[in-house]
Amino acid sequence: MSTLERLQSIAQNPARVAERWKADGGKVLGYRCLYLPEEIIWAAGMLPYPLYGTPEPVGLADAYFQSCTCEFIRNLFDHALSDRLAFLDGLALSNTCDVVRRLYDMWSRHVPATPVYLVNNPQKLLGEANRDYFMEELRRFRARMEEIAGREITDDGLRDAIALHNRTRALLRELYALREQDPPPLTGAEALEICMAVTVLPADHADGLLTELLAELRGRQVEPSDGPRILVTGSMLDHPALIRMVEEEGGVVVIDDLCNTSRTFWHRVEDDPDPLTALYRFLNSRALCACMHPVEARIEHVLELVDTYRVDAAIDFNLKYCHPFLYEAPLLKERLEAEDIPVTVLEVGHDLSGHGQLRTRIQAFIEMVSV
Amino acid sequence: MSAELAEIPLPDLKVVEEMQLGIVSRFGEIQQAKAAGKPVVWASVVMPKEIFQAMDVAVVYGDMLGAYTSIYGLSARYCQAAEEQGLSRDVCAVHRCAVGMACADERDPIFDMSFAVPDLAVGSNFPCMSMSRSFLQVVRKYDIPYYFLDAPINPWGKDLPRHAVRYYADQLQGLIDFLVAHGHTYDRDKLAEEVAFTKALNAVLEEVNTYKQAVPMPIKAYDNVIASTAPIALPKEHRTLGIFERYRDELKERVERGHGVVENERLRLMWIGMPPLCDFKLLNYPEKHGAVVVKSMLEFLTGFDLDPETLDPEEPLESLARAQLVSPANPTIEQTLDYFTRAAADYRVDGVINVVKRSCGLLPGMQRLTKEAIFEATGVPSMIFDLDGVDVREYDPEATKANLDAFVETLLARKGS
Repeated sequence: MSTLERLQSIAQNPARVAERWKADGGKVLGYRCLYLPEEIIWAAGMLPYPLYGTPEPVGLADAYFQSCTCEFIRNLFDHALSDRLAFLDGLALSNTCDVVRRLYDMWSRHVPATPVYLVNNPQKLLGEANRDYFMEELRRFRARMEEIAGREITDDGLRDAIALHNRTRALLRELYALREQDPPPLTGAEALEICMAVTVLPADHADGLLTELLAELRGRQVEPSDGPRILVTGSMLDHPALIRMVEEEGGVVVIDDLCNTSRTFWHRVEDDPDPLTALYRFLNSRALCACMHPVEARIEHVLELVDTYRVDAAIDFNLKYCHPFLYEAPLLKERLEAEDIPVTVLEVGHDLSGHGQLRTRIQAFIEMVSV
Repeated sequence: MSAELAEIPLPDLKVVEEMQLGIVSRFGEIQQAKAAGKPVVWASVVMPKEIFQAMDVAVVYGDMLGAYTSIYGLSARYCQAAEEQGLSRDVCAVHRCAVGMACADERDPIFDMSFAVPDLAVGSNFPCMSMSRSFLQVVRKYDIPYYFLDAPINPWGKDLPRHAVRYYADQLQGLIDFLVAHGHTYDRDKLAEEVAFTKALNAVLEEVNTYKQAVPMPIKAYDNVIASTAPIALPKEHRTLGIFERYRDELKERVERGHGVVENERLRLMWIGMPPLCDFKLLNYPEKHGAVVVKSMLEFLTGFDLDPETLDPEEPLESLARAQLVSPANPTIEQTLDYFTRAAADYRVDGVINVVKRSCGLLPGMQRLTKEAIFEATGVPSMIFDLDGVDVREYDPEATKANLDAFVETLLARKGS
């Protein structure tokens, strides 16, 4: 089995990694969204485990959340209610959207076996007006992780965790740099699966696999393609089906801007004598989510990706009922079109329903931009 | 552009009629400000109004305008205008109405007074993502400077940590600095006066609330909703303690003579969720069964139920920050549950109508949590159903009435009536 295949296998069943860690006597801390540092969880000796959904229809969670809410979050809550996340020793959420906040409320009451903690990060980033506030929130998060882990998080431990995760991020940036090539040596669907696998693996193990993977990919022979170079953006795509669909219809997905792919590793933690300050600066620079302000920072980032990856067209996959990204879509579309980048905004379900119609729309879009 | 406007109930209380006229007259102030070259600011009713009032800011409350499009039966037009701008039909109908109103090329003449092209915008993430994002469409349309007010959510309850209050107070100072940078003046003493006024006002409103807890209910649901918006929506010359003291006194007089708005009050209801703006008379509909809506969510959204002890004119920004952070409107759910559980008991509620519109991001999920908490604490049952009372294209009056009829009949049977 090649390294790529090993990573794809992990992406198809990420919980196995966490279950194995538990079986070896470790603790697993689930988390969602981008604004809490995995480094703190790792420095506490726990496996940071980003929660991913599965593409089946929501069941139990519909008794708690109306069906007009984010399917991704409802799917995660479904997993919790059906004990598929029983291996978690805790859950950490960051302050992002309405539905994540509501998940905190629901989880607190209906999944009592797994304590949940909310990192109350600011939503106005980049400037340092939020420094005192955000630093205090990170201190409190550190203390809570120490309680759950049952051990102290030392500054040296934090520095080591930062160095390790920075290495992973650098390797992923190196991987993504390969996608600047024409044609890139890996598909968009493969890139998504690699990112999902890497984010659930223990960081020290992930680095070894990424190094092997880079060597494999550098030697890979790829058929040239005259398909348009596509940027995929949106919130969360935790299944490669949609990206695969774009590629089957002739698009070449050269870069993705998603919550489970490039957003997780685009920035690095810069050095600072105080590791917590370093993490603060890192998170504060990550204005990549549509929940955050200033929105211009996120749009500029997407335009930089367009430039770096020589993108011909963009597809914005908006998860149904994902309000932050739905509001952002017309703003992003306008800016991309002003740069002569055609865009299509597609509302998609998390459970892979409606994919027949989506394929038709994607096909039409790819044909249009190929002319 | 002209259209037939929806029928709106007439106020029952004289003072509420006065409030309603005052609210309408406020729009003239905005036009005068615009004509005088004063900046018009696009903002929201849930932002600390004391800052705008102290700095004499000409404010267009976008969410309130959005609500008016629905009240006048025009939401379809303005929602569609927003959708033509690229907004999904799945985002908040109130905000689609607001954005559609702001960005439409033509507006109905009824909005000639209430809308003015904004020169500045203020956005906030309090209490939801729609509030956090929708104003950016207005910014895009008019290419205007904006300030974003970042409000921490509240997982701490009433015991707010210092760093959160300090941060939000600094955000409010940033708002003041932004307004000063764009042509306004700031006087701390005036802000202290406005905070003192709100403190005194809310002390009167606390008295008002004790009369609204009386059996029978002395005020109709529609009047209650109008009055609850008055502290924000009235213009300066009408926003006096006097008008609210008269409101209190009218209610007091009714309570003392045992006057209820229905002849034989059989049930008292609480309404959680957005009331049916596009069919406002529906609020009074349960009266046909002898049922009255005695409490609604709008009262905490507009700050009507703010505890005056939270405010301190000596520390105006910090106390405004504190007041907003502990508001039941601020996620997470604890303050909301506490509010509704107490209200169910204090107002002697028999049943809770708990609605959510499909396009809301904030309320889904809250229904189950409030239903459980209220029932556990008080034994009061809730009925949850889908109701979009904002986007008239999504509104089904017959299904809504059928739901209300069924719930009321169930409650009456439960009560043994």
